[in-house]
Amino acid sequence: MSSFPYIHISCPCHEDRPQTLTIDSARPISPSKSPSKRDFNFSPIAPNSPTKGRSLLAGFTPSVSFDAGNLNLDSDDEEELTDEDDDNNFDPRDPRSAFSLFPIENLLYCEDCHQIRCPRCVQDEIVCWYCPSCLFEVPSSTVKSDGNRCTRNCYLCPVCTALLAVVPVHHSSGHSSSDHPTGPFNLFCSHCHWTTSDLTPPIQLEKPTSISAQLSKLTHSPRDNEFIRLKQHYAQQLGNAQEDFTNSPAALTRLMGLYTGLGSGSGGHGGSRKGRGVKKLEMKEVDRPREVSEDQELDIIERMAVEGLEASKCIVALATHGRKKADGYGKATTAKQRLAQPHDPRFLSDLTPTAVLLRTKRSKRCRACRHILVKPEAKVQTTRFRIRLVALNYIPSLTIKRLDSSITWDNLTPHKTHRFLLTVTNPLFDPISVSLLTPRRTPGTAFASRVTILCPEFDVGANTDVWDDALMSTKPASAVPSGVKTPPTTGSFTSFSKDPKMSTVYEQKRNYTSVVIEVVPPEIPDTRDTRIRDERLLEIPIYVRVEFEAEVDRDDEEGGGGKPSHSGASGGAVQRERVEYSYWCVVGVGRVGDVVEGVVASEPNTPVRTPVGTPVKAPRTPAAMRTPLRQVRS
Amino acid sequence: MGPKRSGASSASSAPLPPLSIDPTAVLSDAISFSGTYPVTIGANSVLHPRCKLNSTEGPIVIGSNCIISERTQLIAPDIDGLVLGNYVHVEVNCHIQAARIGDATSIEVGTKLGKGSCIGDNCTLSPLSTIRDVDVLPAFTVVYGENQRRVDASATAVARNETMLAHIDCLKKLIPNKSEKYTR
Amino acid sequence: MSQKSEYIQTETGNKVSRKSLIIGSQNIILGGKTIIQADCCIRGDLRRLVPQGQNAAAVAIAVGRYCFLSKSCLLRPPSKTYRGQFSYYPMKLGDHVFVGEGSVVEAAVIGSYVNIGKNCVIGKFSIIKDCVRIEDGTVIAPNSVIPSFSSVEGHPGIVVEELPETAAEMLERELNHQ
Repeated sequence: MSSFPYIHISCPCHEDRPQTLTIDSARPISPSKSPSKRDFNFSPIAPNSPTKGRSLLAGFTPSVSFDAGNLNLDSDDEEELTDEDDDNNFDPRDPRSAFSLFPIENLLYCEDCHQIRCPRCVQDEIVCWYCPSCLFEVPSSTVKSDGNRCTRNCYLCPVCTALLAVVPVHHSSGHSSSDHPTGPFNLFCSHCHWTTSDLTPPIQLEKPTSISAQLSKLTHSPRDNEFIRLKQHYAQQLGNAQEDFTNSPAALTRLMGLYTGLGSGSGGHGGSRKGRGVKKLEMKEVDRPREVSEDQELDIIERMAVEGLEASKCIVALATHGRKKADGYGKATTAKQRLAQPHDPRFLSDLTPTAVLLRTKRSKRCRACRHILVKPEAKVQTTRFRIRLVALNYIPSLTIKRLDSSITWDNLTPHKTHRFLLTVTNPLFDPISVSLLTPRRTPGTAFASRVTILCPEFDVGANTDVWDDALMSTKPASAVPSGVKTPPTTGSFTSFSKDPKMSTVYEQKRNYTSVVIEVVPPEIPDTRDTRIRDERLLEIPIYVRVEFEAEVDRDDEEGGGGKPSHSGASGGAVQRERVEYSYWCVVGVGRVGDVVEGVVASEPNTPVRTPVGTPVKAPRTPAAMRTPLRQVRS
Repeated sequence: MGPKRSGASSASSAPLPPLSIDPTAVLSDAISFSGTYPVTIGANSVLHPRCKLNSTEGPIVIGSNCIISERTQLIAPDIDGLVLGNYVHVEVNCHIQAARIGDATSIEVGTKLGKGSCIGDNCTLSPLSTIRDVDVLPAFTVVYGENQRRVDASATAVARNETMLAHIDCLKKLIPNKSEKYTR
Repeated sequence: MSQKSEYIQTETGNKVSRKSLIIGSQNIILGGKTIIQADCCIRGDLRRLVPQGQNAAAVAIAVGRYCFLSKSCLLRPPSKTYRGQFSYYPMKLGDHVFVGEGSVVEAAVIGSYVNIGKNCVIGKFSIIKDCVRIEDGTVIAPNSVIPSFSSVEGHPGIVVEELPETAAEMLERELNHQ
């Protein structure tokens, strides 16, 4: 987990929900739509109700059908679910939600779909391969034939994974400038001083270049032979057609024919192929599986015992000081070292240098509209991008900081009102209007904190240049939220009609606005249950809705939104289009600590006079007084 | 020989401990000596600026052909003092309270040697390693990674010592010798 | 953050603390708008010896623009024996490089937008490319190469994470927050 505080945005790709859904008690969701979050979410739970059963169910129910009758839902939930999709609270504790949360720097934005794209919902395509240590580009044909490791001189120390350097074995003493080092060479690790001479038998290279060729001759194990044989066999089976097994169902069928014995009935047709149909007896398995002989294992055990004795003789002192392994294993490889080697060595003296794995430069593509989102330059040395559509440049970024610096992120005091400052920064060139909605109590947990955003709707100015500020009449309203209202006017933007009794923003500068958010954490007992489920972690889901007017000239050049609603006149070269989109984000605020003497639960004592009954979110139904999110029904 | 305060060089205004510095050794500016026990610096050794040699508990002996880099602290742990062998290379930011450091040892950046520990010859301690108090490292040990140990069989000792000599040579040309400041 | 009395400001906008230790300042190039905090040590005297005996334009350390060298960090040019000759080689830092407190940097080349954490040790002759984050307490082995867009951790340092495309902006933001 990143350190507090953090803000993670939920990519909408995990939801695939229909816009309206009427609840029938036993109607199964149509199989084309995957079970969406709303099926698993329940309304915030009152502390007295049987919480554990429900919230456990929230994460682990595998069933697809949503059975309303079973779960003692009241009409509240039903109405909640029939409302539009943003009424459902995003539960950050749901195990599935962890897969859709990303910090804003990892997200991309597709201009055609007007949607956020996360690393899960983009498709990667490889632009080029290169070795991360010599920074040489490797053509993809070489990668296919020689494998995905560097074939030049880059090798890693098997003991400590640092880079190996070539040194001459016999040091030629005396200065001789223009010296070409002669004699056999070693690979030497500058961090742990391992050399290839430590192997049994010791490996020495003749010349300092083309190391991989020399090494492959010297470290040819029977396993390599086996691998080459297998590879040749299967390449031959595939024949001339180089098929990609993932994309061609015919090839897949042929491959599976190995196991299902397709064509095993007819004999003697090996090698004949009827076009691209089913091959009969074509795919032969190689031959009997490799056997592990008992003698080999006994050998290893004996060696361990003997080497252990030797080890203990020469490194006597190391025995006395808390080593993790007993002396006898001193020369055995660790699991990590073993896994990096192709031949599974058990002893340190069998470790060979490993070639460096190649790295790739990838371009990312939106899965829905096939539009390229990120395209790096093909040259390895540059870090520039040809195309780079990142969410940082399109969606407003949120940051949070504490107003009172005595608050420690890891130890929030229960029952105390903590105030944080949430800053929304606008990257677009148009001013935007932002609504922040959050459930009054954090969902998904029995110990819910009370959350209040003091000013849930506000405007954020455009990201203009600094000197344009002088042209615009912006009044920075850095009022303390005590009910004083100063409406900010930024340019020609029509602000939303704000309830005059609602509190105002904390600070409003050129392209960012800060509002205060108050959190009152509950008291959380320190039981095993709460520790396992990490109840102390305080995460607030916030639903961000952004609306603005963009100029749309011809194509989607200006940043667009989710569901553009044409309110302006259509036609004409430049039209202003009202665009809105929304997303959930999770603010990780910290962990709740233990109770402090003297701080007890009380009603939220915000000095703001929020009118009673004003819902936290903008009302959708005419019954504005009722919030589906609230516990108490009026 | 009474210690005398030299010019405005060292940061401490306390009297210097008795120093016997070999004439071929190179000491740079801003080295601070403290304590009362004698400090010996061998032939051809180089001390970079901002070293701190603390001999309150015991004497400090630095062998020949050593390089002590900047911001190191050499503290004698007890009455037996701190003895550095020859060809020892101590890098930046080290904190040494060992009793003995063997010949041809490389102590890399940021290591901490506990009180009274004893490092053998030809050892290499990789950066940021820690040796606990009273620990004993046998000869030819390499401490690397997360305080892992192994035996160094790379046979690079000769090459290393020659590199040390060349290094000292180079440093002598680059660092002005200010040892007169410390010896009256 | 930087009190006027403690820092000297040069013409190119560099802010150098009076308590820092800069040796051989004629061999050090600061790009501009670079901040050097107290107790920082830059060894410009360890430079390559030009055979002619003249130290004409022998740059030891070249630092780029908008860099930030925190307290107690240390920059030292790397040295090695090459073809029988032992000498120090110049060190080059790119723009927007942040070196954390107590770190010791002996790299040969550091690219732009690099964040080095606290108490790190960058080994000799390492090459760090652009947009790299080095976590706190990392030790980078000598002669290693860190490719762009990586996050390095461990002892010895290995690449643990690939940074997203926005790495340059995020690293710059982290630098500005210091």
